[in-house]
Amino acid sequence: MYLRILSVLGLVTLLSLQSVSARTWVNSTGQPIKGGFLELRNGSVRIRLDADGKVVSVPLKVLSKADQEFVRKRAMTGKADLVALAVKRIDAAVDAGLEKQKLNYNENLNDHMYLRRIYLDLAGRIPNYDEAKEFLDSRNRNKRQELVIKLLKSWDYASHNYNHLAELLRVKTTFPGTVLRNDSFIYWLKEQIHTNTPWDELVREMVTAEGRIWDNPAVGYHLRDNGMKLDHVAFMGKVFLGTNITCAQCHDDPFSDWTQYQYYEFSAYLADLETKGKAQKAKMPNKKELETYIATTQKLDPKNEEQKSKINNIVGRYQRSLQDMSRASELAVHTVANRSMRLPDNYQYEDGFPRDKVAPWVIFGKETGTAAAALNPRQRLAVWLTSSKNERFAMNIANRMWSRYMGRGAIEPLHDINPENTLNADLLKVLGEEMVTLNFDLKAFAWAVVNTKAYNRLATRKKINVTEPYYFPGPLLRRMSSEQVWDSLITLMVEEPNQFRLDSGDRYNRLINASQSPGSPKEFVTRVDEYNKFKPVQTLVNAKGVSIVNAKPPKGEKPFGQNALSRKPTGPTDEEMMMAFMEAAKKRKLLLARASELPQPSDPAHFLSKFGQSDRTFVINASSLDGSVPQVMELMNGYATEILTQPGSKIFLEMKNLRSNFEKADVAFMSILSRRAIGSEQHLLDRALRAGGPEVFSDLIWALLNTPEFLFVK
Amino acid sequence: MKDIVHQLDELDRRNFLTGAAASALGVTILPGLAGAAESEVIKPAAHATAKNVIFLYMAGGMTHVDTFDPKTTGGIAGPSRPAGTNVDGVQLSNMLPQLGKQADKFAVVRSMTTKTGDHGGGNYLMHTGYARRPGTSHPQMGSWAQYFLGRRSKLVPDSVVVGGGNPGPGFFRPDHSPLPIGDPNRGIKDLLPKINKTQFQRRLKYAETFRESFAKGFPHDDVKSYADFYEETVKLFDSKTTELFDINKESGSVKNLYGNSRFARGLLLARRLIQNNVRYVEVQLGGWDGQHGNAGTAANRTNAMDAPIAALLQDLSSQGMLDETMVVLTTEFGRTPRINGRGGRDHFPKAFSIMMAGGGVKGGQVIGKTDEVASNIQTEAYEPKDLHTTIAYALGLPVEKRIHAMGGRPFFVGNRGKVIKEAFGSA
Repeated sequence: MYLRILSVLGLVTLLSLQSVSARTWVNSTGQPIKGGFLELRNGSVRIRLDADGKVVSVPLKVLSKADQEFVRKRAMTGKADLVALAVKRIDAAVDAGLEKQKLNYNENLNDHMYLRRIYLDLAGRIPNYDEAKEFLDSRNRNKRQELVIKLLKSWDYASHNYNHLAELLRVKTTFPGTVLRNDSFIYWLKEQIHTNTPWDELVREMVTAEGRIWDNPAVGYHLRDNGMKLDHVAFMGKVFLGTNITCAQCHDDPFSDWTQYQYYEFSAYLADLETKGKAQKAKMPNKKELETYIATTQKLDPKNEEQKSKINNIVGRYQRSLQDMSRASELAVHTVANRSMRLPDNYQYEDGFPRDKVAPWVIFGKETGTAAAALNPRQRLAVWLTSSKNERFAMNIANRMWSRYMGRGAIEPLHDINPENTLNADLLKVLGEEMVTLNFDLKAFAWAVVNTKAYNRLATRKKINVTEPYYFPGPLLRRMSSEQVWDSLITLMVEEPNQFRLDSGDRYNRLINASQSPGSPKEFVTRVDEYNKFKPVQTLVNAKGVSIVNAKPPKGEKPFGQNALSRKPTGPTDEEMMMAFMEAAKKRKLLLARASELPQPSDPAHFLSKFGQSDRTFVINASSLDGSVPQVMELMNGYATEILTQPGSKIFLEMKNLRSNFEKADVAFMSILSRRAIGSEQHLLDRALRAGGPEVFSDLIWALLNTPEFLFVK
Repeated sequence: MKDIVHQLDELDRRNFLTGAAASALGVTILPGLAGAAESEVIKPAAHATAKNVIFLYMAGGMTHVDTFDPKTTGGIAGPSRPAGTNVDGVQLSNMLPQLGKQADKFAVVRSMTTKTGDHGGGNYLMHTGYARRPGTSHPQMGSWAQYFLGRRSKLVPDSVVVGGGNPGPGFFRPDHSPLPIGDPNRGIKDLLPKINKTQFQRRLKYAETFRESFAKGFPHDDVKSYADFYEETVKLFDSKTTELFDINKESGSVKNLYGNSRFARGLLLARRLIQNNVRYVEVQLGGWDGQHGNAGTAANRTNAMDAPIAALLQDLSSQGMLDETMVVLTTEFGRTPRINGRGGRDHFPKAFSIMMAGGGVKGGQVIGKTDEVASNIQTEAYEPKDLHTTIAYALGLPVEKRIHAMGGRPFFVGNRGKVIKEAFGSA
């Protein structure tokens, strides 16, 4: 079902957007494949097959010369020309705005500032010491461009951009009101970002997805708002169209044009969408066999009355567990044929009566394309929504991306844009158009934005309030997002911040899917036991599948520092310190993984919450960049700081293992603030390091962390 | 219903305290920028009779028959008998002898009712006046008061919860959070730095030096705010602040008056905090969920609440604080008058009792009436939102003012309930 819809939509896409160009590919064996080019990744070409919509990966070198040429043109690096054109047009729009106001751009960025900013914006974290040195020491004149490309391709990019999308879609680790975990959707979403699925395609997949979470992870989008369809529609308007129709859910909106009737018309596209159904039938193994198995393994005698009832109790327990598990399969996106949207019971306007049926219709523009008749309402909605003719769709995401890198949208508020009524109307228009020209390729768009003149200037030094006009002489000074702060701390703590990732959810789904064949009694019992003992932290694993709670530092290696000779022979080794460090983290229940991999939203007591991570409940832009006392307490006094200042953290070991005080100071400053110490700072460092003592590294790390400079993007 | 803080181990508790909850401490300098509703400070209405509130929450569903609505009917009375008090005509269960001696100070409302019969939902409703709905988060009363009346003190929070289990600031900014205190004997000791003073001072000095160049380069309000937050936080670590939360500074005779239980100490802390400018303190007493064996639960719980609450009323009164401090005792629902097969009482939302004292409440009276089987309310019934509206009314909050939050939805303090007018001596 899911694939069929996809292929129908694929066709529509071709007609309306011509984004995924169908092509007949030829490999070295001469066998042709028909499909659309998606991207070049690790030397392989990903192709979406026309036949069934499946994505296959083919090594570039086995393809024909002509195919290789084609790919080179279209792969990221091949987009340089389009991106350059976009940059030119955006620059012109910003130039014009500044000129009209007789304003100039801010000062240029030096390499240090550029480095820190581009890492935070594209990778979502500060650069570590080696990364900083590599960039700063390089004499390559093209080094900024090369760094941008490197970061756009990195997993860091996927992790960082996932955070933005997850906030927008209010993604939670478990679906509200259920025990069902959402890991598959979270994993899928990161993969889409990493492989750079175009935005329009991504949205279409989510809006039209059907099935259970283990059939099709994209259903996580609709399941998120299970049981609150009308609110879901309002979110859809804000998130994908930058249009706030919330008020019209209950009454005609006095501040804009939306009527309650329109709200119901738009919602009617989802009239036949159902997110909860009957649980799938839970499958038990043969009861006799199960009883026999339990009798054998528990050494119980079925002929003994008392032991017989024990066996029955145990079987009953498994039955109940299975019932609990089967409830997870109630959550499914499916279409209920012929169900219409009706006006509410208390409808009071003259254009309809309570409980009148309402036919689907769009909130602006019109549905286009002859294909519409063949599609179901949700597919029609997806086509209209993501059409390049629907300029609000492009404008919305372009404006959101612009605001992400510049600290403010061309127009605000992001979820309720009014293109006619904005200071930067031309800029907004250009951003939207370039988003379409780039075929909703978000990486290419990001690439364009970070190459604009405006981005490559120092942040504006003074606060500009939301109500004040702003023409983008540079980005606003931004406090790091909660996730950026956390991910930066992780970068300072461990060698490989991306080491532990949330798994694909397959293992959990295999456990909880009660409708699958139960297998032998042994398999069944093992599975149910495993489900009952399941701990969320098991889903956080490294490449070898080892859970973060069981991981040990690499044995026998000296991964840290360059000069192990300075280690005192009597003190603990680096490995021992790392071991102690990891134990300390474990004891404090700190999971040293990136924000995108942790439970979402974070616990209210967690670092991430204190720094303003969205609670992912009712508001799409619920994250906050405001400062607060708890944040300061956390940085002074919290577990993350305790861990970071402890021997065994990456930065601590690096400081310890370098010989000269000059180098030690350099590590501290460069790692935390991405710059070198100046004037009075240098004096203080000299004094502190010369005094020595085991505490001095901790004290310096602490002090640098507790400077507002650490928290801001200049 | 166990309280959250007790369930946490030592480490978790510290994290919890230094956590979102600590938002309540210190000053927020920044005006709200995020989606949270913005404070609008007004003067309390002229009819205001209370300045402070102590909210006593009997978690788990307090049996009304064994406390404030005793009966003699067979199969219903259970272990308790109606007993006279220091007010003619007012009877309480004989399991509340100490409270009986203070009956002139409080009013009992026997006509409470609610539609919610589960602990989680009932708890939420009784703390916010609103039914729990997915995706919505309503504020507790202390946060509402702070929203309308402004923050009272730079150092202490406006509301404090002792014993956990409070929904928090809802859609208001995090600095409207109640500060949770797990162990009243420890106060806010868990918030303090874990390193010695010399090292802490040294670190602060380093940080000061490292801060200069950025502060000069970016004379930006947000950067300045952080500097202020640092200053505030260091002040919080000062002994003068921690003393406000330290009941060990109270005299021995006062401590004896209250007693040694955690609940008693929580009440003492509540009084101390109100004295030190905190507006709203909640103290929880758990363990009321007596489905199995009511007699034991009732005896044990009434014993736990009786003397300490009587002491609180006496203490507030003798210190002249009762007139402006409203004490409210409530619970998520009552318990079935009829004793069940296991000798316990089940959840009973249909009718239950609460108590109110001080802050304008006319003591020595009983409001509302149930029939002889304690099941049917025979007078005007009041819901949790009515209690909320009554508290808000006493504080002088604008109960008819609509505010917009969570994407423009309308909300009211007290959820447009009715004021229990009899409580204030007017019919």
